[in-house]
Parts: sequence; C-alpha cells; structure tokens
Amino acid sequence: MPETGRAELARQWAGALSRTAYVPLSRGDIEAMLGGLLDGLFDALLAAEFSAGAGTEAGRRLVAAHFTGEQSLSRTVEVLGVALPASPELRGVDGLAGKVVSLLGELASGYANALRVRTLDQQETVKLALLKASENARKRLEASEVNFRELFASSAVGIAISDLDGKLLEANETLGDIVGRPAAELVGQYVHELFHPEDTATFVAAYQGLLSGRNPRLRLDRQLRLLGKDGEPVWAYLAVSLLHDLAGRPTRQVTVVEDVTELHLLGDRLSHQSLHDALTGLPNQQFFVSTLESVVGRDSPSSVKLFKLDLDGFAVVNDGLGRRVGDQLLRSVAARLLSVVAGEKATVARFGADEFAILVEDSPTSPDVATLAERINTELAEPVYIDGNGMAVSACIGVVEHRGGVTDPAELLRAAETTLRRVKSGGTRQWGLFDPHRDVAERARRRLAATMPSAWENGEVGLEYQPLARLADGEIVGVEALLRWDHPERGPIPHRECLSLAEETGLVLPLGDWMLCKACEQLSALGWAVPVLHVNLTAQQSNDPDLVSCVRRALRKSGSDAARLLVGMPATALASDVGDAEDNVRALGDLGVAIALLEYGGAEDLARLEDPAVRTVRVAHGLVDRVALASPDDSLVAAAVPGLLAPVRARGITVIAADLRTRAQAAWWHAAGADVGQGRYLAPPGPLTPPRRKQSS
Amino acid sequence: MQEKLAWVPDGVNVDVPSSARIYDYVLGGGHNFATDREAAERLLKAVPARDMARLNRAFLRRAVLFMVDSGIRQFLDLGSGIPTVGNVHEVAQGADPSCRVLYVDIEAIAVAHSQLLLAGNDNASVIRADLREPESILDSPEAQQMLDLDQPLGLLVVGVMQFVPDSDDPWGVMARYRDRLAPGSYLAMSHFTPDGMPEAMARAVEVFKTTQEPAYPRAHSEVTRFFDGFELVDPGLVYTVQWRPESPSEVGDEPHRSNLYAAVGRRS
Repeated sequence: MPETGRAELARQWAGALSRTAYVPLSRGDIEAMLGGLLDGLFDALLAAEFSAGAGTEAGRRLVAAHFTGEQSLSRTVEVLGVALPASPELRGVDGLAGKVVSLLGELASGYANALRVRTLDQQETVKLALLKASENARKRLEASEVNFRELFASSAVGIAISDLDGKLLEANETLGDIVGRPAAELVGQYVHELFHPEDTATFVAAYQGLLSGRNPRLRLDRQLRLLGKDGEPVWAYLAVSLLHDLAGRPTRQVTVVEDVTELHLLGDRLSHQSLHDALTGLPNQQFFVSTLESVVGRDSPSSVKLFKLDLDGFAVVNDGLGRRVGDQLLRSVAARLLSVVAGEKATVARFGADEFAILVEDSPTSPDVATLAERINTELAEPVYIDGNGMAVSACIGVVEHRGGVTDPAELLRAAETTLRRVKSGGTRQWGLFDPHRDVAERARRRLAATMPSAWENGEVGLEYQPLARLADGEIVGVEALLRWDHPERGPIPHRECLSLAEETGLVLPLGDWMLCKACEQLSALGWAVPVLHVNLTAQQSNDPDLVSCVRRALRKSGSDAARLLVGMPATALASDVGDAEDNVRALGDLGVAIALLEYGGAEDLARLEDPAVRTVRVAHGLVDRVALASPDDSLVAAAVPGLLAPVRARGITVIAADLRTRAQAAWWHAAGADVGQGRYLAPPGPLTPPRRKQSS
Repeated sequence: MQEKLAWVPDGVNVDVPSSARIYDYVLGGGHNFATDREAAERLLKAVPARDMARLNRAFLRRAVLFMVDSGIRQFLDLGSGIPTVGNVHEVAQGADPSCRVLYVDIEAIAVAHSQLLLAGNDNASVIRADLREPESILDSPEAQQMLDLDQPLGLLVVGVMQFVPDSDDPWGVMARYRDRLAPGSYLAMSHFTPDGMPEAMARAVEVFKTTQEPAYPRAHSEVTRFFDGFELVDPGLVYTVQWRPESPSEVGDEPHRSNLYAAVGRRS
C-alpha cells in the first residue's frame, strides 16, 4: 500500500534524523511532519510535469523545523537517496533516478539557502541583543549618574572632585558654604589651597598615602582646618579617596569634608570646663596637679614655691551671709591672689570650698616666701564690699620650697598640706614653712597612731597601775589604771602618749571602755584590795555620750561597787558647753561613782568645783612640773599653790598631786595642801599586786 | 586591590565565550559570535557536546510537559540562557496557552535577547538576576506580577547549577528556593557529571575555564542532595536520556555519554 510505504519511510527518515538535531516535537509529530514532506516529494515524482520545487520546499521546511544538525542534511539525502529510487510506489516513473537526483539537489539547495538566511537572521538577532544589552547598561549608568548628581548636589557634607594633581574639577554647594565662596569659583583651584597653611602638609601626605595604593580610601582621624570666610578656621573631618577608570587606573581624587567646627568648639569648652573651677575661673585641682607634675617632673635647676591656702572662718560667711555672698567673696579672693603673683610665672588654683593653691616658678626677681605670704594676707585684708557690707578674710598658708631637681608632686602637695594644718592649729592668719625634721617626727607619730588599733588588738597595749598614798601617813588609798604600749621597735610607750595617740584616731573611746572594764575586772579579781580605782579620762572620753553605759557595764561585769570607782575628767571638758561631759558627771554621780577634776590649776577651774559631784581634784601636772623646776622660795607659782588649794580643802574636796618624784616633793605638796600623792617617789607604774599597806615615812 | 567601579556595564562581553551561546551553537543555532564557536569546537574535541546538548534539551521538554500534565501552569526557569530551540514558554504554552513563565539569567546579552523575543508575550518575561540570591528573584516586581508563589510552581534548574561552585553553597541556595515553594510544586534539574566519562569531562572543565562560566560537574550523590525536601518521581536521578524517554529505543547502549544527570522532584 502506498501509505504504508510512505509511513514506513517517514519513520525511517525520522529515526535517521533523531540523533542529528534536537527538535521540540514528539516522535509522532516528527513522523507526521516528515510524512507531509514525503507526500510533497512523491507527488512531484509522480507528476506528469516534473518540477523540483517540492525539493526546495522540503529543504526549507527541514531548516524551519530545526533539523539543522551537522548530519541532518547528509542523513536525509542518504535515506531518501536509497529509499526513493527503490520505492514500490514509484516503480513506474519515467527517469526516476534522474528526477530523484534533481529533487534531492533542490532539497539540498533549499536547505542551504534556508540555513544561510536563518543563520543571518540569528546573527542579526544576537547583534540586536547585544545592542539592547548595551542600551540597558547605558540606561543603568544614566540612572546611576542621575543618582550621583542628586547626592552630590544635596549632600550635607562638602564634596570636591579633583584631578590627580589636586586641581578642582567639581565642588558641591555645601563645600562652597564651608569655605565661604560660591562652589563654581572653586573650580580650577587646588584642593590643598583650601586648607589652613599649617594643615596643608597633613592633607597632602594623606593623598600621597592614597596614591601609593594600599587603601582606596582614607578617613583622617584628626580634624584639619580649612580656611573659611574671612580666613576663619573651619574644623573638618575629612575622607579622601580615589576614583579609577575601567582599567583600574586612578583618575580622580574625591575629598569629602564634614564641618565640625561647632563640635570642635564644644570640645574645647568642655575640656576647659573639666580643668577649671566654674565659680572662679581658676584652674581646678586636676589641672594644677598636672601643671605641677610637668614643672617638677623635669630635671631642671629652677626652684618652685608651693603655697597651700585655707581661708579662715569662711564657713561663717557662707552660713551667716548666704551662699551668694560667699561665692562673690571667693571670686574676689581669686582675683586678689592672681594679682599677688601677677608679675610671676605662677599658677593659682582653687582646690575646692575655701582651699586655694599657688605655684610659683622662681625667677631671679621672685620675692621670697615671707614677702609673698605677707602680700597674700595684705591683699586679702582689703575689704571687699558686697551688698553694702564690707568684709575681709585672712588665710592660713602652708608653704614648701623645692630647690630644683625631679620630685614627686604628690609629696610636695602633702608637705604643703601638713604645714598648713600645723600652722592652722596656731590660730588665724598664720603661715609657715615646711619643716622636714618636724615632718619626719610627725610622720612617725602618725604612723604610730595609725598602727595603734591593731597593736591593741594584738595585745601589745596593756594596763599597768600606779598607787596613790595618803601624804599624811603613806597609806595606800588607791591605784590609777594606766595604759602601756610595749612597742616592738620603740619600746614601752607610756600612758600619756598612748592617750594622745589614741585620741588622734578616735581609738581612745573603745580603748577607754576596755580600760574601764579590764581594770575593774583585775581589781575585782584581787578582791578589791585597794579602796579606789582611779580612771582618768581625756576630754573626748569625758564628752562621750556612751560613757555612763560603759561605766555601768564595767561595774556590772566585774561585780564591783560604784563607790570603788573614781573617774577623772579634765577641767576644760567640763568648762565647755559642747559635749556631754556635764551630763555625764551628773549621771555618774547618780550612779555613785566619784568624780575627780583633772588638771586643776586655774581660776576657771574653781567654778567647776561648784558641781556637787566633784569630790576630788588632781592638780594640773603642768603645775607640779613647774613647782618641781622652780626653786620653791622664788617661784610665784609655788607661793600661790597653798592659796589655790585652801578653798578646795575647805570644802572637803580631796586633792591629789601626781608625778611626784621625790619624797621631798611629796612632803612639799603635803604641806601645800595635797591629800594624796602619786608618783615615782611611791612606786612606778607596774602590774597589779597586792599593795604594801604602809609606806614608812 | 583596586575596587571595581559600579558603573562599568558588566556582562556585556563578547570577547569571552559564554556557555549559553556555546550551547546554542552546538544545538545548531546561529546566535553566537566567533569566540563562542571557537570554544565550542574545542569542547567538541573533548566531549560529545552536540549529543549532550540535544539530550539535555529533550529532557527539558519532557520535564515541562510532565509538569503541565501534573497541573503546573507557572514556571520559573533559572539560568535560561538565550532563546534557542524549544523554549520553555513555547513548550508549555503549546500544551496550555495560559502557562506563565519567568526566565532568569545573569548574562546581559542573553537577557536582552530574551527581552526581544518575549516582547508582546503577556505570559512570559525575563529578568536579569543572580540565581544565588533567591530573594532578589522571588521578591522582584516581575515575579510578583508573573507568578503566584502560593500556587504550585515548576522550578527549572536545568544545566545551570553546574556553573555554581561549592563555595557559593548551591545546596543552601536550592533550599532557599525550596522553602518558598507551595506544596505540589515541582523541581526539574539536570547537571553535568564526571561519573560517566571522567577524563573527557575533565577536559571539558578545562575548556569551560576559558569561558565566562567555569563548570563544576558533580557526582550522583552530590546532585541527589539538591533534591532534599523533594520526592523524586520515577525513575529518580538518571542520565538525561534515561529520564522517561518517549520510547525505550531512544535510550541506546551508552546512556552515560549524555554526561548529565536529570530528575524531577515533587514538593509535598
């Protein structure tokens, strides 16, 4: 059957072509398509008038269907060239072989032409694609340019684009504002010309760094100055970078300028504030110390004087007249101090409250310490009028001189401080020069005082006792509890010094408390073999609001009778309105504890005797010493003593004289009116032992 | 290192051969330049590139038709290259004219070419994007217009992952696409492999090094990994010529010479 024959041929042809090219059709569709071509070919071969046009058409349609593989044409010709002449359907055709050849030739020709056209079309398409791609890219570039222009124009920072020599090609308006000229005017200038002459070099160096190629951009961490309007400096942060062409070669410089003048000024102000006292405008302590450091930190032969001042009674002004007046006074003080050292290389500082310091770097014409100190107080003595009130202040001054060479500024300050404190205790308007020896001694003493609390805890501080005897018959009437510090290096430190050291740190209160308890305990343990325990207090102890409860505790813990205890308080403590001494006296008296007035020796002390609780006095040890030193016949004091003691005795108040060294002294005091003696003549301080009952006279 | 300037039009490069244009040439097309043809000739000396291309393209057609049969009406074709024989939209729209296709390629000329071809087709468009940035594609205005990610999608990653090196974590990239696909979506993939003709593919890799896209053929297990989270449909991951051939006779005796693995997976 013809159809079967053609269908079979179509299948064969499809099979041959299938490996030659990819055609997006199913096998069935391919066979159908090729079948259609075959029909055309057969028709042409069978036609009465032969025309090879069907061949051309078939070739063209093969190309159209994408049968354009390398082998597609040759396989086609192979298959058809064998099958067509042998086709049963075509057996009767005249000149079949020739017609087949002709047909296949036309097929090949049609194929080739179609292929050529197709290739040309495709090449054209791909070139159009190339053009379109370039067009797309150009549009993107344009959009990017537009964005850049917008950014450039509207940026809040100044932008300059220059060539590699630094000649400005473009500048935005902000840059113009920063340097105070229209942006257009800047074109043609050199970028480094925009800078302050001192900063030009830094800027140029930054660019050299860029060109040498490691970083494409640099942000300078220092602010540089540009020249603004009227040559005013404009502080700016800069970032510089390079732009490159397509080949990666640098072609342009970009400088981005951020105006930070305000920030800079703010920074300056802040830094000023942190180093200066807000009220007076003087340098503050921090600034002063660092100035001091730089002056004495260098090894120079020049000498300096350091003054530390404290205004006398300034609190009175502040509290009495108010803060505002106080502030104005401080400002006038500051101005006056500055005028005192006006001609010198000096720094005046306010350390706080009413403390000032002055550092003078000596020149050949600098006045000496005394002159300056006097001058300071002379200046301050001039009254200043505030709200119609004239007032003046004075100051205590501690001075230390340093004659050249390196030293520790903290040491100098400390020296001035300690000197100031020392002179202050002497009154107002005092000045003094640093005494290194005294200083050494003072430091040793301070160290001692500071270590006392732990020494006490370690048991280095103990109690000892000294007996008191009736001068008439030598009968032991009591013992005084005394402190004794067995210091490992200094040896034994006696009672008075212990108390004084303890007073410095406030240790005296717990120490006193312990002393009371311990003494009562020890005496109680010995069965109260002596009638009375004398515990003599310092002023601080006397004023202690807890004194009475301490005493109660001591008595209770030791199970002792209050009458066994005699507490001594210094006359000065009782004289004062401040503190609880008077109340304590009364309360202790109520307890049944006896009170002695210590350091009795002056007229005011008589007034204290009015207190009914005071039944005993101890003569001021200074008085005893004075009498001991003087020749008894000449001394005014010696002559006055009996008169001093008489009224006391008349009242039945017991008089104790202590620190008696010799029997003769004891006798004298007995004659002068003392009842009880204490001192080396009788026994030195020592451990508690059952006493000898009588001293043989 | 000098920085590249952003405004250099990258991608418009006719001096370095492009894999898309080489592909077109070995398929018998004319959309290529002399450098592409020269590289193609070198490739043909190493591997049977014409057969590889033909069989790969045939797989793509069968995969698309399979997806259409499974109900898919929208396609995302990553690395679509230049419009050559049997484009996805022609195949899909031939089966159902309502099918929508979004083509994606990174190469500027390929994209421009597709733009020219697709002018006037409302159901197909092309964008220039890097397939390694899924979000840049899936969230683009064109994707929002052409595709509906709430509906099943046919994701075509045919002959393109072989140009993404391990260092770009192609499996991670694939996972990011997978996670945006609605259930019922399909993934069709083909990929160069050295498993069949190791020395030949090694020589091919050398040729590709001289093009814009160096190639990274992968072994069976590595290609299977791309289908994590997908269920492979029969016959699983096989050579292109073996994947659901129209008739068994087409497979031939040496399927490994097709040098690409192919599979389709379903996202459940």
